[in-house]
Amino acid sequence: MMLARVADSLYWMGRYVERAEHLSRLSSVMLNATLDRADTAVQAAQMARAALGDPEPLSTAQPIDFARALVMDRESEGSVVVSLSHARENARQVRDQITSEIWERLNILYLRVTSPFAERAFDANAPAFLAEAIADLHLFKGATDATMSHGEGWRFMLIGVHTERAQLMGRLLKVCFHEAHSAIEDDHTTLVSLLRMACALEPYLRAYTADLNAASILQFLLFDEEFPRSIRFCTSRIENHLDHLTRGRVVGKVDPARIAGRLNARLAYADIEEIEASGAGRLLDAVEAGCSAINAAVNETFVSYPLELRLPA
Amino acid sequence: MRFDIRHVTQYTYDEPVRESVMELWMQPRGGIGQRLIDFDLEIDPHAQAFSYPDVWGNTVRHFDVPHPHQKLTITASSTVETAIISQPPESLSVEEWDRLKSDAARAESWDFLHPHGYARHTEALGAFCETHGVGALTALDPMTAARRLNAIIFSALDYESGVTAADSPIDEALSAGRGVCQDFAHIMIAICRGWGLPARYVSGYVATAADHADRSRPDASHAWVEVLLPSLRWVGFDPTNNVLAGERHIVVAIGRDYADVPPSRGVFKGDADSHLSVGVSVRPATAASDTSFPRLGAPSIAARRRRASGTGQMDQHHQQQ
Amino acid sequence: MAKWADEGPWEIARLNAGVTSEVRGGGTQRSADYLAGEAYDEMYARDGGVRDSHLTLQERLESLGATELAERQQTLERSFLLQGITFTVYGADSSTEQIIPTDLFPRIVAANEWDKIEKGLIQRLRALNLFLSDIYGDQNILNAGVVPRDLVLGAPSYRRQMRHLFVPHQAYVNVCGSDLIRGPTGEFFVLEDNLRVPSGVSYMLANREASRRTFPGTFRRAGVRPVERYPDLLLATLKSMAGDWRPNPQVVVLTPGVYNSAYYEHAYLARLMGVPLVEGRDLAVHDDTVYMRTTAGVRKVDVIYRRVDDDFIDPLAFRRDSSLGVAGLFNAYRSGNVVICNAPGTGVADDKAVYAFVPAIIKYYLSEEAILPNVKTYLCRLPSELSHVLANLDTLVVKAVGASGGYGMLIGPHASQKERDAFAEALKADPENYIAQPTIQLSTAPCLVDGQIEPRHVDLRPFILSGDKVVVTPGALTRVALQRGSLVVNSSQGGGSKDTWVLTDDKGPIGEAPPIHLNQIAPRP
Repeated sequence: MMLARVADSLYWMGRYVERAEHLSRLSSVMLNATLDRADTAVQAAQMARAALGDPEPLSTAQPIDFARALVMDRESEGSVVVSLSHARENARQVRDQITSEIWERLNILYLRVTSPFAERAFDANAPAFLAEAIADLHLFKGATDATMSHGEGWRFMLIGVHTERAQLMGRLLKVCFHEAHSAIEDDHTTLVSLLRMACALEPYLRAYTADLNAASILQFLLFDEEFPRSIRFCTSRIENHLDHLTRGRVVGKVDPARIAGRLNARLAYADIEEIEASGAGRLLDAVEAGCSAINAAVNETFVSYPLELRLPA
Repeated sequence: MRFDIRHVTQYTYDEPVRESVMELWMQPRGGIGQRLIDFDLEIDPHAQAFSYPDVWGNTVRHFDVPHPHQKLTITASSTVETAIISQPPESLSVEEWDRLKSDAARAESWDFLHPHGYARHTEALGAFCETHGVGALTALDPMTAARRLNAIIFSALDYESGVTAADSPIDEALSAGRGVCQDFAHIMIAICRGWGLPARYVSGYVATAADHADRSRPDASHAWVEVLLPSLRWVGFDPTNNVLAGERHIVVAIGRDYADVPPSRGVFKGDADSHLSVGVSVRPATAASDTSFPRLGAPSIAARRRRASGTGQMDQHHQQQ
Repeated sequence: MAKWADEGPWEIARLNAGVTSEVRGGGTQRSADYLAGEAYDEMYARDGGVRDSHLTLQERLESLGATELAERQQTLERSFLLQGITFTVYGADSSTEQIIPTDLFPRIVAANEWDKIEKGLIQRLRALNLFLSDIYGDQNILNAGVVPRDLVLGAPSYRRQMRHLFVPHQAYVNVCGSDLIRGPTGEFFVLEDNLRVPSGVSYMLANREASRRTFPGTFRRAGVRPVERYPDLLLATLKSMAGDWRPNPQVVVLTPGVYNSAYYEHAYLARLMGVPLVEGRDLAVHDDTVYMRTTAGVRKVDVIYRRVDDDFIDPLAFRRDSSLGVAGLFNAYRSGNVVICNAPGTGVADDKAVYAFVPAIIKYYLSEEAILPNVKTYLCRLPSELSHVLANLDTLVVKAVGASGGYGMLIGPHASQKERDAFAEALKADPENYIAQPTIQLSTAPCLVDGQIEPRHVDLRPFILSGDKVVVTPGALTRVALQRGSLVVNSSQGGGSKDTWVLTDDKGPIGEAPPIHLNQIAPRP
């Protein structure tokens, strides 16, 4: 049993932390790409940008500005700093529910990226700045795993993390694999960038060796059951957590566990050949819609349910 | 006399609202000169009503409606018997003022001697008193002074509804030269308390009759004033109709001012405007009791909207006319 | 880059704390003008000798250099910032989180001094609870003329809704934080009772955590009484208010929300008690029962430790425009289905004018003299006292009855003639709203300021719990006026805080504790 508002805050804390990590990684990969060739950098930036829903083309000079805005812009809802502020705001809401270790991890990172010295540090060495931020977020997740009871609150937080992750990965894949035979297929550097953005380069190599090809990458990022950033992995975690949470409880018309189960099954039984033939667009649309539906169903079932339905008779 | 009273209050909301919580000061009091024979409360949508006695001994009914609704109807039906125990004298001795100064008298009626809420002295009230020679009344005995004051308020201020609202300070009625019973009661209370004469607000009903020159509307709840005269106890004055409260006045609740005893007040969650209609009928009880519904008055906007992150809590109450 | 990563938070700590941590050099000797003031000093006697209670601390100070002290101070501030022990300061278009500046030296209270404080506080709270029970009951004390009726019934904080309600154990004030000061003679006075929603107890606990880490050896040797049981004593107090008929009551802490300046404390107490921290929007009242919205439906609430002022707990019963509370809460309380702690309406007894009558209140109910004296208080509502106040504005402190937090206050000796004249006008216009007290030189305690040890004025806020019994935690929040010579210790006015050590006995420093051998730790069963 926990407060509905608290569950909601933990869920959103998970989402924002995941978002901050993803945005940091996209920026980091983009900047790394500039070390290679200008056109790959632009292509990587394009990919990141499209994955964030902004299809405007970029010129060669822009990746660093784009990255800075993506990370440091306090006015923009979709920046790392703002995501971290939201995550911390949610953590503050549930300060009594999370351990000091978890709180302090997030608080340190927040204080660092919002300090008056942050801009300077970013400009001096953006890749190091981002690497630090990502490492801190991993420490945060580690502290969560190691110090927080793996009970209800922890599950809500992880549902947030995995829902957000599935959505963000879905968007990234959609940019690259919406249609069959997309343009990135033969560009080795772009494929590497994509794997890096998904934090998947090393695990992919272990699974498929250095044979980089679009079909294997898509299969890995969509369906791998062990890689924590594959969409299949996310949906199966969501289903598992929701299973636990709804067990023995009254759920309304919309059962979030059922929605998650359906989405997971769809991924489990997806037809690879069909995807290879006609692109992953439809499946990724289903992932996006499924995640939205889970988000809404979690809210309706656990958070903003109508009071009168739950009052004692 | 025996009366059957029906008091229908209907709130309508332009959007569904939730978690309405309401308190009602609608159950007539028992006591000297008045007996409550029957009281019944109907709430639609249905809700369980609870009650408690407030600090002035009124019976407050309260309830909540958790589920979404766009309409809330409260029907309070009561049967009350009133009687004149004794007719108050025309006047008392001037020494009555001294009796009011005793510690015991002041202690007992502390709440009704001090300005509170709507019943407080204002500059406009000072001007009103000056214009109508109210100050000179304190040379008379308190009974006569109160009778005169009752008459002054009656003649100086016109009765007209719609000029003031349920939460209007007395200055609005004073500057307009018109108002309703609630305003008149507050004005009289403020003046009496200024004199050191304990005065309290009475919420209730009056059975209007064709043979009386009543100004109050027959289809609304009523309000008047009770003044403490130590040798007579509380005596009711009705400045709206320039009479002493008598057999036709049915007392529902007493307080320091209107805000202590509004017939209904409540809050709800939701982002909606609310409209309030009230209908009251007071009929002499007959063998075959008349159960026809009182007509609802034209809707009046009774509440202001407040928004707070999608769900507002609204204050809703109605004026006594 | 690694350098930046290490230094970042330090920089922030310095910036946000608003405290310069520069080391000025010159060692840790107290500065030459340390004892310049008239005030009683907590550490040094008039002849410059160190008081017995402070010998252990003195020893340690002598062995620490300026740099070491500065480092420890920085570590302390940094840990507060990282833990988020902050309050929010709202500016015109932005808000910043600040830590309450914390001084690393403990303020030390000797055992015999504490003994008297403890007895005095228990006596005072018992009397104040009886007073509240009386004024919301038969009003004997008003009828007897001991306390003026107008003062009580005319106070906005007097809640008529509370009249004749049953309050278990007559414990209206479950949590009290009284402000004590020590005058030039060394005697403690009560300056103010905080009976509404007193705050600061989290600083008592956090300062203790910090000072144990800052001076671990000294802490052990000095023999300091523990404060760590406060959260479970608080929980026990709250549970005792639910009565025997609810064996395992659901307790919650009600906070106005994250934007409240004391939010950290609300979350801290909820966490340490292991009870939910709720906001008004988490609660709903149905059929006179209070429920909280959980992920598994609604759940009944039995005891609410509310950190929301009376005015805002129930828009139906109190302020109509409040959205911090929950509508219908008071009716649920009245019907006995929930307990609100502190009870609504306790504020009337910590009114600055009622304060003047507390010794009389103690005498009336307990037939005892007050163990802890009041500060002499002039009630400006009385014409004779008003004229005295007006004639002596340059030596008095004048306070508005309704204000708190150091606002609406004139410190005569520190004010300009112009300020005094302006205040005199305000006084004459509304004498009932003011009281005056002689300016008391608060005692001073050594503080680390710019690398030097300097005296700063301090007060003492101990916390008293009352439910089925009255308990004083042996510790307190010591507030510090950081400006040299300032007597204002409120955190909203630039005050800081320090840990408070209540010693177990008076025999001065005790020997090194015997080393603990592993086999002395309770063996596994």
